[in-house]
Amino acid sequence: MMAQFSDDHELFAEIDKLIHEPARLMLMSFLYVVASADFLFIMNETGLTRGNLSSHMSKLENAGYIAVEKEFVGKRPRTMLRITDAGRDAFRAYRENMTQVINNLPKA
Amino acid sequence: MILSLQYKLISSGDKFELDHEGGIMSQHTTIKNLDLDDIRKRAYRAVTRDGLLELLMGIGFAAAVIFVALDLFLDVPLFFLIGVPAALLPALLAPLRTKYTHPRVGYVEVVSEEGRRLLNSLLVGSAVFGVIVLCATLASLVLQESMMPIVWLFEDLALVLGVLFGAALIYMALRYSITRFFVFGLVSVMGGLLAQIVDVSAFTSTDDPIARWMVYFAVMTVVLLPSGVMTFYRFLRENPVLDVDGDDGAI
Repeated sequence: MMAQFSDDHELFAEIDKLIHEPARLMLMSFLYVVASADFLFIMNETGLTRGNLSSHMSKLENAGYIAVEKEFVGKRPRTMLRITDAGRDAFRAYRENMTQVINNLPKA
Repeated sequence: MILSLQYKLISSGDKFELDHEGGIMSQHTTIKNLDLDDIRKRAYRAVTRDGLLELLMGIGFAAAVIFVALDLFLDVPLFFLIGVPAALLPALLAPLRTKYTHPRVGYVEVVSEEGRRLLNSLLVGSAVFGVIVLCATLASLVLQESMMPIVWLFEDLALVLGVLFGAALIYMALRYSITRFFVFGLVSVMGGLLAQIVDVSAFTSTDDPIARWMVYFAVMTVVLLPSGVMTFYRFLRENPVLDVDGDDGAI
């Protein structure tokens, strides 16, 4: 029983807390399935406010999970976001860890 | 702050569903059925919801009707131009989306590496089809027989186009849950069949096979053009231009 708890504890510890936050999980999920998207598209699709998205984007960028590039289309500024290879790997690992954690949880 | 999260997670292959219930979150975000396949579909639907694709396809088919009609009724040899609108479509679509779509709903590039490979395969397939048509044309010139491949191709092209184009539209509709594309796909197949069985000599006083093409192009025009206009108009009304200066992604 203790050994089982200890294993579970290790599993919990392996969960990437940076991705686990719901807004960032949503952001990572969107970027995982598209090649790239701009700030406005992500804002519309996730329902996050500009400030929130900016803040979460910054954290993910600092972790190297997403790349943020600024460009101009005509005279309009555009901020493009795309998931990096490291971000993709981290997201896959998160999925696997979460699946294991949920499977190991006692049934209610 | 008390943060209580309750997750139900189902993961199998590409499917990853995560239900979040209750809890207090700083940005009042709720996650319901975070399904990667659904997100992918939403991204594709977002790309096509402006209606510009069918609007331009409708204009292209209308132009094709005019080219064929000029050839049939006025002997102005323009029917060979019917491929031009299709070739121009991507070049017209991109600037229109940059001007009208992206300032309203943002920009997303949905084509991944896997998608690019599929697109390349389609281009190769089109090139192979072109080579077959060329060979058939050359064969018809050499053989000078009545049942030459080019004759068969001309006779049945409306049906072939209707089925191929319809299949592509239905595939897109099913893959990305875009209902109206399913309707367009069915119409394309039906239009091809109609063009094949209708008695074109009744209104063209000729049995020229390109009259059948005109029937197919007309059917597609009648469906795609109004749908494109209405969808685009609704899109513009429902999605005002957002303050682009705010798209600073300020970090």
